[in-house]
Order: sequence, then structure tokens, then C-alpha cells
Amino acid sequence: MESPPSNSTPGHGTVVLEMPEAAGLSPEMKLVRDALFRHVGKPLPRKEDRRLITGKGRFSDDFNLPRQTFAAMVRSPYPHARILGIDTSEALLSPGVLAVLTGADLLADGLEPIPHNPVPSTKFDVKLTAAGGGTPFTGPHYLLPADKARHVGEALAVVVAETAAEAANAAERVLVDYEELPHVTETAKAALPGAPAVWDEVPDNVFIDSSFGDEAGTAAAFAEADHVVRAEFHIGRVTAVPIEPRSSLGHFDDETGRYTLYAGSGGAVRQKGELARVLGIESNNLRVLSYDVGGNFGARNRVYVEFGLVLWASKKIGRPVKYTATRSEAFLTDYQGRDLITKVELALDREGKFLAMRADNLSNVGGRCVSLSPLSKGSGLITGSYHIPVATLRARAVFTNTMCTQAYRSSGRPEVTYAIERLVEKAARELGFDKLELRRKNLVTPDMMPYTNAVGSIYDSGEYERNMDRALELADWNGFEARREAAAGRGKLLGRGFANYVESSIGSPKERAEIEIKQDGTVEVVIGTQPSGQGHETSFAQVVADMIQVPVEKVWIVLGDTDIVSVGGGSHSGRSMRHAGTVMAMASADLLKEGRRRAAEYFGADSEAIDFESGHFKLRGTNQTIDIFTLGDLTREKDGPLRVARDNEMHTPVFPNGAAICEVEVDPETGHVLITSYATVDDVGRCINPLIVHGQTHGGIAQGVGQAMWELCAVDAASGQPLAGSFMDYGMPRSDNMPSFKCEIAEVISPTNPLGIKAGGEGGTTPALATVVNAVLDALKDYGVTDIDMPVTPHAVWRAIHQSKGERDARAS
Amino acid sequence: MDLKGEYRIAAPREDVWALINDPQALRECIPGCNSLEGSLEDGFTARVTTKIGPVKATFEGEVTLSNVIAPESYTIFGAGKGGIAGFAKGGADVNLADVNGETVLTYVAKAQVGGKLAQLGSRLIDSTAKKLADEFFASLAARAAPADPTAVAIETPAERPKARWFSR
Repeated sequence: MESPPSNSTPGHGTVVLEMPEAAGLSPEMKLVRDALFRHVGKPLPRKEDRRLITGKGRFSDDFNLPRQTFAAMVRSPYPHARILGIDTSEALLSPGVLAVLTGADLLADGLEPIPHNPVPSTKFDVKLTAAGGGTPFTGPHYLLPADKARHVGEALAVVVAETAAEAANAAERVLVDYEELPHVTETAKAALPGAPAVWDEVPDNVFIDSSFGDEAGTAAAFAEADHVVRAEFHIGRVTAVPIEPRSSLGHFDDETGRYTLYAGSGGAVRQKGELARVLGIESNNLRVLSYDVGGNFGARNRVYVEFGLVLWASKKIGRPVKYTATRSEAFLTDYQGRDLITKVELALDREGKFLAMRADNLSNVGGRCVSLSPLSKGSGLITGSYHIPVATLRARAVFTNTMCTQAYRSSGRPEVTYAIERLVEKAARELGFDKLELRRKNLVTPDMMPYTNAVGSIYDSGEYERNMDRALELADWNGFEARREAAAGRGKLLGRGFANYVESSIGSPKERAEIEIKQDGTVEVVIGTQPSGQGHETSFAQVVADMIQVPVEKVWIVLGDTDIVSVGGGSHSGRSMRHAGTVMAMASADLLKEGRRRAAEYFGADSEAIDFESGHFKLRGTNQTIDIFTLGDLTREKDGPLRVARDNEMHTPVFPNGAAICEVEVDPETGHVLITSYATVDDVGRCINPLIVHGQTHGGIAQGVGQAMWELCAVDAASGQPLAGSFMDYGMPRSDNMPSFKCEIAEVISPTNPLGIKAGGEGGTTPALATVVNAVLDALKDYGVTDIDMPVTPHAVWRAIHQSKGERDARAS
Repeated sequence: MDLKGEYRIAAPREDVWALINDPQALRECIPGCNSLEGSLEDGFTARVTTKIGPVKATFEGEVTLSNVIAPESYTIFGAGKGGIAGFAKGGADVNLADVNGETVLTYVAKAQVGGKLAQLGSRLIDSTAKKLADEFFASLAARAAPADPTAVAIETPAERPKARWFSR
């Protein structure tokens, strides 16, 4: 059995402050840290908003090049079919057509599969392996498969034509000769013996099978427990639905031999590296530009086949090639989220103390493995916010004939939070405990921090019970009975749901910041994260403005062009502010060090005698000062621009946490659920911009509530056909379906990084699935409904009410 | 998706039987049929243009007859590919009964669609298929009994039990 990443005894752990000693102690780093809070912590309006709301955003489809052509995809209508041949002759005769390319052409040109590298690799990620510990087979992801289609919508050929309409018309005339094969789309069924194999290499479809924690200890604790509570949940498949469909424009320049790609993503640096490997070129021969991105939520973090296809096709035809997905292509082939089956068991003693936990998680990765994030991120958090002395987890991943899954808003964490928070609620109900008291009795307490949980994750800091108390106050928990009676008077059932949560933020470890004092009196910061609505241009500017003590208006963040931004992990897993903040702090300290050196030379003094205050270098004991911009100008000729570049690598995770409460009103006649109030407390560590954090929390809640109430990528299991291909079939959260949220930020400073940041992007989503479903079950408790699947649509609620009524009637008679 | 229907046609059973075995009649009665070629024995190739919800497509495919018991019943099976719109395939057991000199035609069909048709039109397939079937049999009946140009679709209320939403 794989041992957990660190000390396996739950309780106190140690947390590494990931700052180089020298940088941590330098006088400049002290200056930088002491200078915070002029801008940091303030709700500054977003600098980028004026540009975006006046139509000056630079989204991928906004880019056009002379002599540009258009690509359309030929997509499989079958969930699983062998490609016997592709007849392109008729399409090639179609008006305007320049090329039709297939998987066979791709192999002939020697293109490589996308190197997704799905197995998480930082020191603190759980280690996922094939059964028996081997390297898992993850399924090569060619831009176009030459052998088989493994899900409906998989691109099998690309048609390039003069116009988008001509490309689409010609794509209709590409004749693919399919041999239909047996398919499997359901998570649980795919892992059963005898299920059709998606890959011949993995006959049983299960390509990851790892166990963590103390199996023997857990078994012993279960054997001695007074109570055992069990449950099984399926957290269904959803999709991110970004406003901007994915788009890409590829151009190969014959003269320079260089490729250029305009494509919005979660991080241009990753796209550049992986696409260069697909094309078999030096990575410097590919420039990727990703400016404004209309929504990501994880779906855009990995490389899409179309991005590589426009580059390859551009070289083939000698002209730029553009592809923009339609909305139905986005529903079909954006990387999707969740789809996890979790079986959980909890052992308790007589007093309700948690003794042990056992979990078995099965993740559906789709037709090939693009990412294991949904499985791994949750694996380290199965015990949630609670002190559970021993636990064991079996984590498996399975191939199916469906679109690939990827990290999606708080990847993996809402799934395990849903499991433990519903299980705790079930334990309270079945064993007669108060559901809040049972939680309090078992919470990890501040004096246990840093706390190593039973599967080896080290929670850095947090005051869980305080979050809980504050959330209860915000939600007016004690006033519930009066509201319930009022609702009952209107024929409605009021229910309330509670959930604690703790999540982890790890993310790609490398980040680089470059800061330059420009001649035009601005500060330019080059950074390799990639916002898609998170407001980095404001919050990053706030941090740098504080550190080098200049007005925030003067600081400009440059991102999204790999010719300028050379390193960067992109934005995912709540990593951006923590990684960028840390490396920007280090770079700012470097900048001030260089500034002091130059100022000392300018004043003819020793750099020890130079202070830095309000953006000015001062010669101590005199009234001689020079501001940082003037210093940059005066020393430019001799020393070059006042500019620094700093790389940093940071592996230590942080653990944002909080509590959320939701109240719902159910109409027993129609099954309609109305959310009447929603309150949260989120410990994000240091909050740089509360306006932005609140905005992200609100969006996060809507996304979590959306999955609980409406969203589902429905697939017809018998035919393997996805049924949710448009907004007519896929229920989205809307503002008129949400109450006004009561959100509060708690700031328990993380000891793991110089700014004390945890993360603020995903706390809204993480507990939302559990709070909504707990609230609906609370509303239905008089009907004896104890379980319901998401989404809790009116039909599902109505059926639950009437099934339980029917069962009771049947028992009574 | 399962469909069934029942039609009363004011014509003798033998006439109706001849009609549903006549390629030209079938071609003219199948809504949107551009061509139907081949023979009863070897099957037909057909080209049909239809629109389901937002998706308009031309299907090319094959139609075969099996289990032929003249003049009572046969099984008709068709599978067509509609390019980017996806595919459709399905079969129907068609039965003719002689009732007082008229013919009652019943069919039980199973159909499956894939690709864009399934994603965009799944909720519309039932109603569209029912509508196409009605058009088809109405045209057949018109040919079988020119004096009485409408086949009467016999309502089968048991087909879809109404949910008892408001009954409690």
C-alpha cells in the first residue's frame, strides 16, 4: 500500500514556510511586508472592467489575420465505433474547400499525442497508480484518432475552407465508415466485470486503483465502534458553460518557421509547451497569445485538440486557420466536470465521537484521461473538517465512452464535502444526535493546527468552529422555526441545510514575476497566471503597488503572450494569488534591493544608508530623496532599465475553509424548490480585494447551487447519446433563482506564504452541493425522504415525495 | 424511443397491402423522400430530407422489409446517416386487420437517433416522429381511398398515462 505523503498520524503536523531564507530575512523583504495594506485588503473596483464593458476586450474570436481560413470538425455521432475508413473525396470537391485532414494524415505527419500529464505530481498531491502500483495507462490523446471514436462528438476529421459556412457544409460530405462497437457511459457500470472495454490496453476500464491511509487500523476501529453509518452518492456530470466558446486561430509563418496561436486558455505557457510537443517543434517556435478569456472554471486548463489542429492545418495550407466552437460543440466537447461515485462509511462511539472513516471513490474520466484532478484533489480531504483518527480510501478511475472530464470549479472538493457532510447528517438522524452538536464535537480545533489528517494532508490553519458559529448567526439559524411556520402557512415546506468545508489549494508549483519601472512612469508586471474573470489586473496591481509603494493606477499587469511571459502555471486550483503574490513579493524585494544599490551610487553613499519610503529612496539623516521612477530614468543609460525577474517554486498546499447555510422552500404540490437564503463564512487567508473575493464567492455559490438544482450532462445510457446539447436541455443558474447572499470573509492568515494567502475562488462552490441537498432533505423530512439525487429538479422532488408517500401508504395498508 | 399508432383506412386490406409494398407509393408518401430505389426483395436505398427542431438534414440510408406475411404484416427497418446532423435508425412492426371491409393499420416502432439530432432534438423526436408518421399514413390512406382523403388516427390514451399532479 502506498504510504501517505507525510506523517500518517493525525494530529499536529508541521508546515513549511516556502520562502528562501535569505529572501525572508533581507531588509528589502521586510520593507515589502511592512508596506502592505495601503491597497491590499481594500475593495478597489476592477481596473479591467471599463475595458471589458465597453467592448474593448481581446477575446480569442476577436483576432483575425489576413487570408484567414476556417475549420470545421467532423464529429462522431457514435459513442464507440471503429473507423474503417474516411472518404474525403466528395468534401474536397465542395466549394471553397482547401483541405480535409484525418487521423491517418496526422500519423503520417508524425504528430504526437497531447502530453496531458494527468497524474498529479507535486510533493503534496496524493499518488495515484494503476492497480498494484504501476504507471497507469491514460490513453493517448491524438488531435484526431485514427483507430476508434470513443465518445459522441469526438473530432475525427477537420475540414478547412475559405469561409466558416463552406467548411461546415463540406464537413457534412465527409463520409466516415464506422463499425459500431458496444459502449458504456455509466461510471459504475464501466467498472463492472464484462463492461465493454474503451481501450484494449485496459480490458476492465479501471486504470487507477490506489489505496491510502491505515487500512488495518481503520478495520480495527470499525470492529470496535458502537455505530457505523454508510452511504453512497453519485456526484453527476456537469459542464462549465463559459460565456465565450473556445476559439483558436493558428498561423504558421513560412519565412520565420514559427507558429502563432491565438487561443484563450487557463494559461498560455502550458499550451505552448504541450502543443510544441504535439507538433514536434522547439517550444520557442510557437508563440501563444491568450488575453481576455470569457470564463474557464477549469475547462480551459488543458489543451484542446482544435488548438493543435489549426496550427497543423495552417502549415499544411500555408494560410491562417480559425476555429470557433458553436455552443452545441461546447456542450458536447468542452472538458466536463465531476462524475464521481463515492461510498463512505463512518464509525462512531456511543457519544458520537468519530473513530474511523472508510471511503471508496470512483472517478469517470471519459474516453481518455486528460486529468486526474477530480479524483486526487478530493482524496486528500475525505475526512473533511473533522478529526477522524484513522481513515482509508480506495481511489479508482475508470474509462467510459463519454467526453473527458477535467478539473471543474473546486475540482474534487465539492464531491468529498458532499459525501462527508451528508454522511454526518445521516449519522445524526439515524443515531439521534443534534446535527450541529455532532459536528462541533468532532471538528478540528485551532490548537490542533497545523493538523495532519488521516490520509496525510496537513491543514495549515483555520478556526472551523468560529466559522460555524458566525455562519449560524448570519443565517439567523435560531429564527428558523418562526420562518418555517410562516412558510407552512403558505403551504410550503421550509428546510435548512448546513455544511462545513475544508479544501486544498495546491496547483502547478512554478511561477515567475518580472517587474520593470518603465520610462513612461508606469510599473509593468509580467506574470504567468491567466485570469478569466478573476480580476488579476486589479488584485495583482494592489499587491505590487503596496510593496513598491506607488499608486495602484501606475501598475499594469502583462499576461497572456508567451513571447513576454516565459514561465507560469496558469490559473487553477486557487493558486494564482498565492503563487503570484509570493513571487511578486520576492521580485519586489529584489527591485528595492537594486533600487537601493542605484540610489546609493546616485547619492554617493553606502546602500545601507538608503531607506525607502512612500515610493522614494532616501539618504538617511538628510533631506535628499529620489522617487523610484526618476531613479529608473537617471540610471537607465548606465545600468539599463530598473527591472528584475524572479522565479519561485512553491509546493506547500493551503487549506481554505468555511461553513455555508442554505434555506429552501419546497412546494409539495409541484416539487419546486426555491432558495430563500444563503449565508457563508469563508476563510481565504489574507484577502487582497474583498470586492473581488465576494464576487468570486457569489459566482462560486451559483455554480455549486447550479449542480445541486439544475445542471446535468445527461447521457442516454442505452444509446450512449448525450442529451444536453443546448441551453434548452441544460439548466443554468440564473440571478432570478438566487437570493441575495450573506457572505463574510474570515482571514486566518496562512503560515505557508509571505502574504498569508489561502485562496478565495472556490469556497463558494465547495459546500454548496451539500447545503442545498441537506436543506431539501430537511424540508422533506416529514415525508420520510432521506435521500435524493442531484439535480433536485421539481420532478425529482415530486417523485421523492410521492414515492415515500406511496411506500408509507403501502406499509400502512 | 417507442412509438405506436393505429389508423383506420377506408379501403380493403389487399389494396392497403399492395400500397405499402409499392416503392413508388412509399416514395410519394414518406414525408421529405427525395428518392427511393431498389426492390422489395433486395431492399431500398432512400434519401429523405427532414427537420427536427433546429436540425435539418438529408438522410441517406437503406430500407429493408422482413417477416413478410402477406397481406397481414411485415417489419420495416431503416437506417440513415444525416452527415453532421447524426444518424437515425428504427424499425416498425406493421400489421393490417380487416374490419368490416375497411383496414385498421397498427404499428409499433422503435427508433434511435444519434449525434446532433439527439443532443438538440431529443425532446422533439417523439412529437416529430408522430407527426411524420401521421403524415405518412394520411398520404397512404389518401391513395388507398381517394374518396376519403384522411386516414383517421385512432387515439390511444393508454399510451402515456397522465401524471397525477393535481389529483391530491
